[in-house]
Amino acid sequence: MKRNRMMYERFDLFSILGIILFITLVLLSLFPLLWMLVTSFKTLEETHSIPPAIWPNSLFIDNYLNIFSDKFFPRYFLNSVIISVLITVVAVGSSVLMGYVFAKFEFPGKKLLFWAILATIMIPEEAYVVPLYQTVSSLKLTNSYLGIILPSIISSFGVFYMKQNMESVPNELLEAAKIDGSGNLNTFVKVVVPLQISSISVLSLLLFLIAWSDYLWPLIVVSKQRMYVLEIGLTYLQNQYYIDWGFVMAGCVIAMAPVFILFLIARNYVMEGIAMTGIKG
Amino acid sequence: MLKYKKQKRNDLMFVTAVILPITLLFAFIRFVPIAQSLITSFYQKNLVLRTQVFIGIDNYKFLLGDQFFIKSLSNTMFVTLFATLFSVSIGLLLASVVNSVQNQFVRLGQAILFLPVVISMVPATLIWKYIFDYNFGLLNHISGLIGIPKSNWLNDPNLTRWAVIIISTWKEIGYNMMIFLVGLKAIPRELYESASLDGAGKWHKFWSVTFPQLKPITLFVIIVETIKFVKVFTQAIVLTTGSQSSGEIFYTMVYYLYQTGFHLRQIGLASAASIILLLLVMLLTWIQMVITKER
Amino acid sequence: MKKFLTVILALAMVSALFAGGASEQKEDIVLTFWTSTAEAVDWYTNVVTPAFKVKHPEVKDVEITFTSIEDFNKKLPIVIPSGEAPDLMEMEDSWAPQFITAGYISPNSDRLNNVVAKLKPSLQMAIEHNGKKYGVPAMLIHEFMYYNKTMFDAAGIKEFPNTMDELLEVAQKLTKRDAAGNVDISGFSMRLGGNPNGTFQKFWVLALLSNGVEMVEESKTTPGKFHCGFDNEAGYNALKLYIDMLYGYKVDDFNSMKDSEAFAAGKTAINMRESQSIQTILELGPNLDWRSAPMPIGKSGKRATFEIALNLYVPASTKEVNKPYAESFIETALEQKVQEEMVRKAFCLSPLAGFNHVGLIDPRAEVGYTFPDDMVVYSVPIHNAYDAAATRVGNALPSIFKDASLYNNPEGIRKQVSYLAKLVNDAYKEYGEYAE
Repeated sequence: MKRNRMMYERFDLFSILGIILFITLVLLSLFPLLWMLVTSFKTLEETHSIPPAIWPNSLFIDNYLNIFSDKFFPRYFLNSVIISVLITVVAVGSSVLMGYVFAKFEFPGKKLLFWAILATIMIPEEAYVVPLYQTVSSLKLTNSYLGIILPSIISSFGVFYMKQNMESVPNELLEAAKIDGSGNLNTFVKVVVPLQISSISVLSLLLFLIAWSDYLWPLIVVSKQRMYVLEIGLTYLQNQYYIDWGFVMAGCVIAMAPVFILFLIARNYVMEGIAMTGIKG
Repeated sequence: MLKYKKQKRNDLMFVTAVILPITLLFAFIRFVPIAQSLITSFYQKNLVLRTQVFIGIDNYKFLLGDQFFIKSLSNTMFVTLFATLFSVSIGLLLASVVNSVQNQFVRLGQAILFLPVVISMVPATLIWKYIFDYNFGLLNHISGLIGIPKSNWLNDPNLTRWAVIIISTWKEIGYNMMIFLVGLKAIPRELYESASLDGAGKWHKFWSVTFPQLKPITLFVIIVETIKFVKVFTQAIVLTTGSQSSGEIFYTMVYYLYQTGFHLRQIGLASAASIILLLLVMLLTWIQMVITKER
Repeated sequence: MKKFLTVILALAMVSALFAGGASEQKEDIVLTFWTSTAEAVDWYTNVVTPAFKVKHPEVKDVEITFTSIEDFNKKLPIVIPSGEAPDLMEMEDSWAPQFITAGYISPNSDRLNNVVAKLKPSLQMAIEHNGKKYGVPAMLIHEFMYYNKTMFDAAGIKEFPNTMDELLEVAQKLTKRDAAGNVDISGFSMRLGGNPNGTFQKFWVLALLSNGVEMVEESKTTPGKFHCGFDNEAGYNALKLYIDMLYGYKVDDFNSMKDSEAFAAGKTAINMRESQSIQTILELGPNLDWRSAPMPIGKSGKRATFEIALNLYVPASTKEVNKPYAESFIETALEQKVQEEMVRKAFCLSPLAGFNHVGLIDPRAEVGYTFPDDMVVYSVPIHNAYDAAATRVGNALPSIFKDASLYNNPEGIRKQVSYLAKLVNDAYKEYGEYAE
């Protein structure tokens, strides 16, 4: 009932413009990616023909086969998965906890600490990667999973995000829990987290994406081919003098797939997250 | 009273248990390397030769007089301004649409909008590079059909910066949409209902209910996108290097950092550049926070 | 139950973390080898390594790691000073100077110098620094001209131009424009932007070397120190060459298709490149009727090209146990039969003295890669500042090329030459290698 009312309520000029924009952007997002998919099935000649051919003559799956049959490919893929999952789990967990504390508690130096944490994402990786490497190298952690995930297991972005989201948790609920005798940890797990399923899902998705596509640090800290992550491993299979577009695009499609699947899963939690907990916002 | 004190003690224990280990980890993997970088910025230091000469603020003086640094700075700021503006506003608009219209087409559209986010930057830029190509690109093909002269997206710096903005925005809107969506869904329906009862129209509801409730999220998105765009690098480089490139490279701060620090191996100068970038971003963020608070 | 699962998960995670690390036992001999030459990986993996392993069955494996050049550039300066060097690495000669000066690469052992003795004399000199030799060239590249025979025939041009001036006229003749006046087929494909080092390299060979000057020359007052070599009339002519090509002869513009891809597609009449370009042409333009030619005679009165080597180095940090194997690997890579495979697979030239490339490379390239007697061959000097200076000049060149007002503007050109000279001198001052 309520849903229907909302739908009709919003159909006016503004909505129509909004929908037109929506459709335009969907097409704009779709088109380049369709082109990518189509190109991944093209042969070398087809990708370099002038004028460029739009459709491949036949489904040229060699681009994909070459990647899948590379002896290191499964390893690259596995590395990326393991590293991304580990990073996401630790980073999300720590971000949620930190975000909660920053949003709902006071302590001396809170503002300074928050700014300091925020400031660390303002400086690009390139700036501190050298001293970081020297530290990691002296700990003999190069070429290990621990070494690769270490700089990413805490996310300033995640802390900031969760803090902003946690601010919408009603203080009354927390008070009520306290009155009921619930300890801080218990309140956190039983009351706060369920309320934030949506934002936690989005954060997990986004941190996974960041971890999955991280390039610079895995590049520097890894020198053994079998520890390469997917992004880096794919560049191995390319030639310097010309771009084999079909091959490059096939690599992209493969690299994209896991994150996109994760997105579809996370999206459910976002859209239905509120409904699942039975609490309205 | 006793219960209150106990509560306070529990709170302190909880806070410490969370903050302390995580802050220590932060210190180890971020604060310390960044501090080391700051110290290095006052030296003339070569990564490989390991020579180290203390030169005070000479690095900073050099940067402020270096035309390539200035160019990097202005390019970066230009891109950041417009990319943030577009990606945040479009993201919010899209989230509103998805939030209000609940059917399967919109769900499908939402998924499609997220695709640019998951594709890595290099292939994404390569695709757009092809679209922008002077001779074979789609854009010039279309403009040729309409009768507009071909545009030099990749070789004319005035146009290249827009190409970078387009790509950067395109890649972020799905992401911002998701973040705003979570924020929109967190707004209690009662607020809208009571506003309706007060006779508020759509616009008014947006300004009096939606916008204030979304403030923390909006601030977050603006700040995060600013920080992200300030680091623009990959798309600029992929667009303007390669065998077919004949324009100047689109200089950005991070490219300058990369070339100075790794290629020219002047890690001291690179550190100084990154500190300047850091200060600039902190300033921008602070301004954004102040503006939002005033509203 | 939950707690139990959490503990298991934690344990699994922790063990997974350390799993990725070293897993070889101490007794196994594994050679680690880094390269950034994509077209040579096949050769290293499938030719050199098997030949090497036959000699040394006790070696468990040769771990070849490929990193693209851009990535190599980010990685090496960070990784090697921290002690993470491989047992063996391959680097372009222009990258090595700072590593040599900093001591990460030791002078060649006698065994390696015995291999060096088999190489071309010019290369033996190029790898010498302060009286000692560093590294062993394994692959060679130099620049020459490719031209489209079909276009030449159609224009009635029988032979490739002998001098630079003739080249400009031929290129002008062969340039074709479209209806809007843009270059459709360039007479000569110019490198006008993109990666700064590449831009500089082309400018170096086409403009500077053909006018008889290099980026730096040795100081007469202080030997061992250098200053800009083109802050003079020859430098002026060098920059003028590019400007004239763009705005006088108009052999190319900024929007045309460029380089090997353009050549393979029939969109440029003349392209200046190394031998690896053959690979591109064969793949992308198999039906193209092309020929090659050596660099034409420049204003200096001589032909000039550069000779760049991809060198194999044994880092100073290589364990004593692995050193003989690393050196043996290098010896293997320079064996006659192995080099023949290299030429076939990687399309580079061999550094071996008196090596006969005929039959191993497309015959049409033979004229291009053979040095006529009047060819002067230049190498990249082993200076700490060289790469930095080249990069800075490469950064500055594209916007200079874009400046159409420099045409017929001797003062304007001289001003830019002075500016570029200052960039070079500043770089050399930075590294303490400058003197008047």
